[in-house]
Amino acid sequence: MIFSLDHKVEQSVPVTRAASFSLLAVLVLVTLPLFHVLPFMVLGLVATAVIWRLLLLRTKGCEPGWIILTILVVLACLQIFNHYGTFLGLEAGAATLVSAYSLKLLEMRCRRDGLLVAFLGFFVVVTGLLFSQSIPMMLYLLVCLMVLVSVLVGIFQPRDKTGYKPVVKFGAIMAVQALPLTVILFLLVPRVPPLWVVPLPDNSAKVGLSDSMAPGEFAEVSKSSKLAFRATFHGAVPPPKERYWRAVVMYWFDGRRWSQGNSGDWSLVGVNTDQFVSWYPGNPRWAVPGGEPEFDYDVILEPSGQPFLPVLGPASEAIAGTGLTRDWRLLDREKVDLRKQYRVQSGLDEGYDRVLPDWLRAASLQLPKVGNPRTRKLARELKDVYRDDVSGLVFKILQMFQQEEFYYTLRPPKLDANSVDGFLFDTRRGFCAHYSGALVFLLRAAGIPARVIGGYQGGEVIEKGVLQVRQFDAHAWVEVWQPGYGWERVDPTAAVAPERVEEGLESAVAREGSFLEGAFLSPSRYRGVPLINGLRIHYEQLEYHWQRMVLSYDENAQKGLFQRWFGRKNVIPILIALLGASFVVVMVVFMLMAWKPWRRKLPPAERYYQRFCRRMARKGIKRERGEGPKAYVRRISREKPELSREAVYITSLYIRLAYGQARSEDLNKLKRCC
Amino acid sequence: MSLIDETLAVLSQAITGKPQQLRQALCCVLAGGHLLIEDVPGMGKTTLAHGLAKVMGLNWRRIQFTSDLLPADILGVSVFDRNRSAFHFQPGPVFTQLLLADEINRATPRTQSALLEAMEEGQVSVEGESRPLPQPFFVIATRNPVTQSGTFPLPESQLDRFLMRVQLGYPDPAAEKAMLVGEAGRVVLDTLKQVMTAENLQKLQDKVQHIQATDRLLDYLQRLVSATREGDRFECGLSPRAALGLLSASRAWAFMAGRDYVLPEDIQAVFPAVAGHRLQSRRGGGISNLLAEVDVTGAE
Repeated sequence: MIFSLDHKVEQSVPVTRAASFSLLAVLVLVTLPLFHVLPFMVLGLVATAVIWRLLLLRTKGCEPGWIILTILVVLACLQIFNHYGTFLGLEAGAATLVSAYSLKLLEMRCRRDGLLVAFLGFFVVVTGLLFSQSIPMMLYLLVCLMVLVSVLVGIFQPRDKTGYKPVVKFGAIMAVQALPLTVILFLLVPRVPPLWVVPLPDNSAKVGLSDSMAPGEFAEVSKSSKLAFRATFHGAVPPPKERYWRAVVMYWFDGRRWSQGNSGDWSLVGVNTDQFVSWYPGNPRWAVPGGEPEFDYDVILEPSGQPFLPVLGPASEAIAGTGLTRDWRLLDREKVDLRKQYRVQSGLDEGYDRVLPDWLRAASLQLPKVGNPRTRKLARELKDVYRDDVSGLVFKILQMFQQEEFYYTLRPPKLDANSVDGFLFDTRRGFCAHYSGALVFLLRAAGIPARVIGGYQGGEVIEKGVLQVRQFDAHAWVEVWQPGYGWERVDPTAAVAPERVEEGLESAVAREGSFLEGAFLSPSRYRGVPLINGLRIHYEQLEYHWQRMVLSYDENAQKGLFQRWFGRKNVIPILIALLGASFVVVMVVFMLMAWKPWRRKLPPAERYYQRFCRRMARKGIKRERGEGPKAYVRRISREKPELSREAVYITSLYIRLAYGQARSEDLNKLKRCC
Repeated sequence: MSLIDETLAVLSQAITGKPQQLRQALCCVLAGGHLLIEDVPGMGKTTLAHGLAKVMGLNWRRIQFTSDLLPADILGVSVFDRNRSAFHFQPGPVFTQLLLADEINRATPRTQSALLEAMEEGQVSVEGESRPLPQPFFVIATRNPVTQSGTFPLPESQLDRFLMRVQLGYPDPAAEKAMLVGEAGRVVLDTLKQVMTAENLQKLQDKVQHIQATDRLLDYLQRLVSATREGDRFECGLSPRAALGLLSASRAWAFMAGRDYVLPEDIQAVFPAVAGHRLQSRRGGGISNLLAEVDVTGAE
């Protein structure tokens, strides 16, 4: 409807008030979700455009001249470039689009401009999806789209017809008609890997695990109720105390901070960091234990900005696109900046690293040369008592955590340079990071290889087989190496606060009341209120399915789906055939709707007469609905006497054919005339 | 000069300046339907009825309806004949070819209803015996607008039995002046020439029933009728009887125009007179809007 426009007409017809107003509304609606992304100046530009346009709508002020517009364009460009250093990239692109939309809106005069602004609006709306794909955002943007479609309809509405209802109704009908087509295209268009790299949102502000851990930082993560990942189990969900999701292994301690170490650290023990990752599909160069993995599950990981893929227990083989580390974790090749789905089988209880290589032993025993003298002294004392009895020694330390005045808290006091000493002997209040850090320090000081594991512990079952893990489920625990056995998981937090492991963070800090402190609006905070909790769980289930079925529908999902349906390996020909078939079906439906063959076919005389009526209408005399042929021909004769003869002749033929006694040649005569 | 034109010319001597109403009245008679003439007193309703009867050469009776008129006053009564020791039916004024029911809505609904059977069936049942009425049989009723005092509204069932309703309206100034200058209509009535006979009329009525109405025309008629039933334009739509009446009236109209087939314009011409008294418009301009909105050709 839009592309066959007469340009002269388009440039002379002004945009209707309703259309201008709706386009303004779209600008405001679309800018709202981008509020935190756009720089201040762009928001200012949006406000300027909106206010100026509103004033114009009230016929106050005058339209901006080209000088002002040029100045605004230059200002906007400078500001965006100044803020981002580029016009490309996600945020910069969004800011550029929104600015362009505002400026074009400010400049809009004729209908052609209105169309341009509306089309630009579609792009701006889609921009919102790059920053959030949640259900509410989707619905919100759908409303924006509906407004835009209605604007397109409204722009072409005759000027004498006002009222938004028919416009909105027509827009809604169009949207509903487009829906089946959307579904077909969504399902069938072959998903290809992107041809260019899409610049990703800046993840610097992401909350989540990092590759290092200072005691205070973990508590920060625990204040966030953001989703970390969801896991769908093929089989039973393991009980809470088995849910240890490994993500990071930290060997290196600098006196304050535990980290997984950079290449510099690792060169100290004589290995290259590449050596302890085995990328799929290669086989690891180290011995992999046999046996069947315990758990089989799909994970949908939220963007984390880190390459770690949380895995339940140790993993024993890499999956496509990932690497298996020497400490039995999975790593993605890139940092995970988009939601990622993967299926793993993991979780073997024993048999990892019965024999410890020297370099790994060295790394697992690394401690700063100096510092924390009291802890080292305690370690020496314990070592003297227990000698080679690693289990006994670990048990003794756990017993100490349990029986002495140690507290589990989200509000740990600050520690000085000898942080482990300070924690173990003075403050005795800490979070999982404190306990695991202190335990590993003690063990290493006693000559026992140990390492800190960072990851998630627990999660909430929102539906049968579906476990949902949030950022506040972040946890740190310890793995201890025992000769002849290998690595064994030890969780010191379980000794201090068993409810943290059994029931989750909330019950562990219930008395303290520090759970999700400050996040008043987070629904997770109100798990105790049955109504809110019920609603929250329903919504989370909905979002889980939305994510699983729609957002995760990528190349692999498409392939899998059609392989399952058609049992063929190569799905591209199937997709193309189906696309072709749906195209034919859509065309047939479209043509049926246009021609309506089920309508009673008009007799030929009627068709010719209609043709005559249309011709007369083009000459400026349109037959009214309730106007009989005789009255019509009389009007034609009166208004356009030059057409009279022909009209009278045709009408008399038609009247005979339709209402009177037709002669055999009448139809042919009428046909020739029309 | 055709019989129709002559009739109209003669009639217009008595009722001046109302050619359209005269055509409608004649159309109604030709279609074989009963006629309702409605207007305020003094507009020439009775004159028109008289004139019609006279020109057609029908024997006619007149009943002046009053509030104390009883059904027996219309239909007739059985009286005891002492000589023959038997009841003897004394026919009422309804036994005539043209019944002029003057100011019909001044009588009670009960008396009005006494006309029902006569009008629809062409017969009268008194004391269990059906007595046929003479042929042809018409009722020409006049009625005052319901808003006037001393009137009873006609029941819908009775209204439906009148094929057409004609409203005379005030004469235009020229016609009124001519009337004032000349003789009063009533006086002219006596001098009116008889143009037709009963047999004549019946023949014409017969011809009217054979005027051609094609499928496309009936479709249009049907669209119009169903349009009155849809939406909330009218209190209640036209009955099938009204649809039949509309067709007859359109045929008569076409016949009067000298055609042997009906055009949509014929339907449109008689539609207000046929439907006007049967439809109660909820908003103003119901009927003229309806005619403008229903598509004649039905192409869409």
